Amino acid sequence: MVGLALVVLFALPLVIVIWHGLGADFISHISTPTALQALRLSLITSLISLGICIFFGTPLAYGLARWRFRGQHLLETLTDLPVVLPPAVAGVALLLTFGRRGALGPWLAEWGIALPFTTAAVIMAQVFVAAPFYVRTARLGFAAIDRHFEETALVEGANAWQIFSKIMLPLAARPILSGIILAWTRALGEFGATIMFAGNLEGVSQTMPLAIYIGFERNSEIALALSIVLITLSGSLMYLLRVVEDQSKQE
Amino acid sequence: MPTLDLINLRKQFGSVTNPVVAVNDLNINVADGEFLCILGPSGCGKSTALRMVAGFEEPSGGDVQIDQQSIVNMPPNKRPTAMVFQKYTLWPHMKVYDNIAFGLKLRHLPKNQIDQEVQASLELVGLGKYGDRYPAQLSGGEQQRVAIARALVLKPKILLLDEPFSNLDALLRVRLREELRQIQRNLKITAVFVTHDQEEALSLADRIAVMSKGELQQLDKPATIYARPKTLFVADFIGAMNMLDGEVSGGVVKVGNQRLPAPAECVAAPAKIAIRPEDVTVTQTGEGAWHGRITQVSDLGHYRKVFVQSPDLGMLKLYLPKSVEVNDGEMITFKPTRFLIFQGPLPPFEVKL
Ligand SMILES: Nc1ncnc2c1ncn2[C@@H]1O[C@H](COP(=O)(O)OP(=O)(O)OP(=O)(O)O)[C@@H](O)[C@H]1O
Ligand SMILES: [Mg+2]
Repeated sequence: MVGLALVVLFALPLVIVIWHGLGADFISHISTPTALQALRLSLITSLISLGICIFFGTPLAYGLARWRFRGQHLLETLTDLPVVLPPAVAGVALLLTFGRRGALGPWLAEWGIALPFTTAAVIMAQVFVAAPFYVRTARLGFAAIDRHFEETALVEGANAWQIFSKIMLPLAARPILSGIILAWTRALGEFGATIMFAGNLEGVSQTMPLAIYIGFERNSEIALALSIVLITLSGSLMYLLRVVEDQSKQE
Repeated sequence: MPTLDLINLRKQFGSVTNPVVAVNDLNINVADGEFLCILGPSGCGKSTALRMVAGFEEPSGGDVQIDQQSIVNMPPNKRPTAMVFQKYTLWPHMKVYDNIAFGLKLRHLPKNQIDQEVQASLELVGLGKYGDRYPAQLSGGEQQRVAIARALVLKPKILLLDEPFSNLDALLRVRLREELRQIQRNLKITAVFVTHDQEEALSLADRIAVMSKGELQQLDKPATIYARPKTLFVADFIGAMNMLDGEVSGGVVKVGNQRLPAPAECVAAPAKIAIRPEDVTVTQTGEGAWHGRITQVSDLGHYRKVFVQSPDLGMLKLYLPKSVEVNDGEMITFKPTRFLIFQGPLPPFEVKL
């Protein structure tokens, strides 16, 4: 019963947002250029970020799960840290590193690259906050695989790549899928680091969360419509996560 | 042709300051086509020894040779060995067929040859129709059969098995080990089978290597291990044994109030006297007869297990033929017919009366 209070705290605002949003003319608001652009930008950037997380995060997670080396705990903590860090800190860190006057700024400028206030910056911010979720989940997934599965493949004649691709990757498929879902929802919802590092330029860096924040002051109808889209999208992803985790428990 | 030699093999885990010696100076030779069991209590280093043969552990010293060629510098995926583990043997995401075909596919064999060999090996273990199933759809015994089929399909020189049947119930364990032995005999494959179950080792092995605390205690045929254990550990570990404290002096060994003959080579010193429960005969009272009160009688099919409380020797265990009349609470007189005298680390003296 006491727990219900918390559920009400979660659910009531969500219900009210949906109530208001749908009560207004949802379709016309969601098809305004501002809303559509934010939606498109969010989908594209979050999918690219996700691709980067998977491409670089999978080998990292595999290495962390299997090899024992000096400084391992340090590296693990480092990759976990952004999970608990406020995104604003991530924004500051990214600016100080890659900003025009940041540590690598002049060097990047020589190459004609300016990262802040670009779509690339949006993606960097998303990767920064989302990758730890993926790496952590995938690492735990790889680590949970009994070593006999791998050793059997080894005596059967498999090399390191064959063991990874034919044995370990399929066996860790479910945790990896969980990691993908978590990272994707995190990237979709990313706000703080983005607004600091990538700004709020319509069509360039104004993703859904930013459009909601800004739009709420000017045109709250669009903000409401986008909120509903975001709630639905993230909600479905989290539901999918539940299904995946339920299934892996059954095995 | 394939032979396996472990030469002064040693494995040390842990740090330099706090080493754990898992295998110490192990010498075992396995002949071509032989079925050798490594037997010992939990933690004695059996698995570690086997894992060094497979290549999962790097020896801290010594050598492993197949056909007189050292393999210690060969990576595990290049060694001519195959392995069957106790659990987590089959890859759950592959069908039985794909589990067995895995190694063959890596070797780029033509598809129809793979099909044939997978089918042949499945039939070898009596599971000809199971190729399409997933491991989760098999019983534990069937899974281990598939694991054996998968190991054999690569035609390894040496087959390694680490307690492959320990997770199965007793009846199935006996059936599977006999099937395995039959297959091994037919294929004349050289096999090393690790177990902590002495009955399994005694009934299966051509020879048994008994290990304790990382060291080889004895390497002999099962009958020899049972009849002539070389060390106190083996005498105690294999089969049932009455272990008595004795004292040797001048051609006799005193055990409790009894005196038994001792060979002249025995030194005058304390000794351990080992008597198998079946190496006794029931006698009349008189010179040299031992006596005690029967405290428990269990009928074990073709013989009886009898516990006897002796006034000077404590509790003794005897196996007596059914023809002997014994009853709980009665007195019994008997004599040992055969026993071993252990003194220090030397092999024991055997005395027959
Ligand atoms: N990777 C390791 N690191 C440290 N110590 C180890 C390692 N592997 C084994 N040992 C130690 O080496 C000793 C022998 O272990 P091993 O697994 O070979 O025993 P075993 O005879 O197979 O026992 P069991 O019957 O329980 O399987 C044990 O004391 C064990 O704790
Ligand atoms: Mg073991």
